[in-house]
Amino acid sequence: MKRQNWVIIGLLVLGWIIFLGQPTAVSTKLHMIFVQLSTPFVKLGDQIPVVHARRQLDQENKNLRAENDSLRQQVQSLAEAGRRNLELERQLGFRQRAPFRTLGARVIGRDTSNWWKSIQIDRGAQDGLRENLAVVNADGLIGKVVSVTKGEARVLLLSDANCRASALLQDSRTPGVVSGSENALASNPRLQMTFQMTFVDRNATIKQGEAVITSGLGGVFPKGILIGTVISARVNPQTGMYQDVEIRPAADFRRLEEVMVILE
Amino acid sequence: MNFVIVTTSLLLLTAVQSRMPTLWWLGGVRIEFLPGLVAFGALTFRRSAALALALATGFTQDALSAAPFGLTALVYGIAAVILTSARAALDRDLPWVQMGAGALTSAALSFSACCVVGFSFGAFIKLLLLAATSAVVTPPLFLTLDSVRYATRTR
Repeated sequence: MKRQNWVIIGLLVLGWIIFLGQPTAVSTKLHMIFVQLSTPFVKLGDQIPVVHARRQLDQENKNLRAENDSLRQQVQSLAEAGRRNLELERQLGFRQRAPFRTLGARVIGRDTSNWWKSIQIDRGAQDGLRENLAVVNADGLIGKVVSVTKGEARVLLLSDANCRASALLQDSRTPGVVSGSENALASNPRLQMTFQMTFVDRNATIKQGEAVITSGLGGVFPKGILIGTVISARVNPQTGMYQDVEIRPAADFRRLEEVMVILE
Repeated sequence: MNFVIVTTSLLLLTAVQSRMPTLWWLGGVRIEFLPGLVAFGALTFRRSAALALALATGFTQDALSAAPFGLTALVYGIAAVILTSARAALDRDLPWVQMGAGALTSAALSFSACCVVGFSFGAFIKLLLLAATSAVVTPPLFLTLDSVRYATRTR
């Protein structure tokens, strides 16, 4: 290759290191410009109608009716439990915790790269969003807001290896840290996504199917949001000090359409 | 006219790529079109235009991703420089040249991503799958963009 080519490559690398390798005013501004330029085209996809087969709709309808019946029963029993809980908290002098204030958002795009896992939502700074707000859906925890523009925000999914949540095993109250795991091409032919819960006490008794919830530590994810359920647990073969717990996420990360951002 | 065609293609392909579902029968990867566009630019336009297209493509892709901002632009820029310098020895109209250019650009991007997220056997397989899918989509992309350029030129 000619010397001129090396000079151009060197300038590219240098430019990247100086201006973009770390968050600077230049990189932030450039990022905003490209997000605002490309987002209208991403939103164009909403105009394409999606037609489902009637059989699929019938099945979905049947499933939703069954789920609705079961949820109505659960709501009734939980309402009673909630009332009792409030009464006990009042008697014990607990400070009242305000319920989450949430804002609904629509997913308008996925990550353009195959190596990171994030989604773009149609709410931004003008709706009160800022970085590090937790994002959930009806099933459980989804991720956290990592960048915000005026009308859109990017949510880093919990399935991304860079997104970690401090968690608790609901029954045993054992703490740990949950993160996504890159298990594509695993033995499961449908590529069932799993999370890893690490730094779990090696002596803890962990039941299969036990719920994993956020612990509230770390200040990003509020306490008590469902993350998933335990599939299996084993002592880490390398360190022998902790257990590694495999978790099946509560939310289906491949079919995210509507989410809720927890504002407070 | 080239500018309009390439800019429209860039924005449309980015939008398509950001709305594509992951394909479980393809190992859970999503088909990428943008490496093919960078390869097209590098094998078609003069170096400065190819480099500008590669950087714009990279920045647009990064803007709609959680990747470190500018990483893709850097990789696409380097790929464009290398491909334009090798162009004299290549016949851009041959499908396997187009496939090779698309695959190499995609593999370079995957390699840089692995430097950030970590190398593993699964990541290596994913890199190969992405390079293969990029190789497959690049010749149709060349055909479409060449047809559009030809059609707009003759009018």
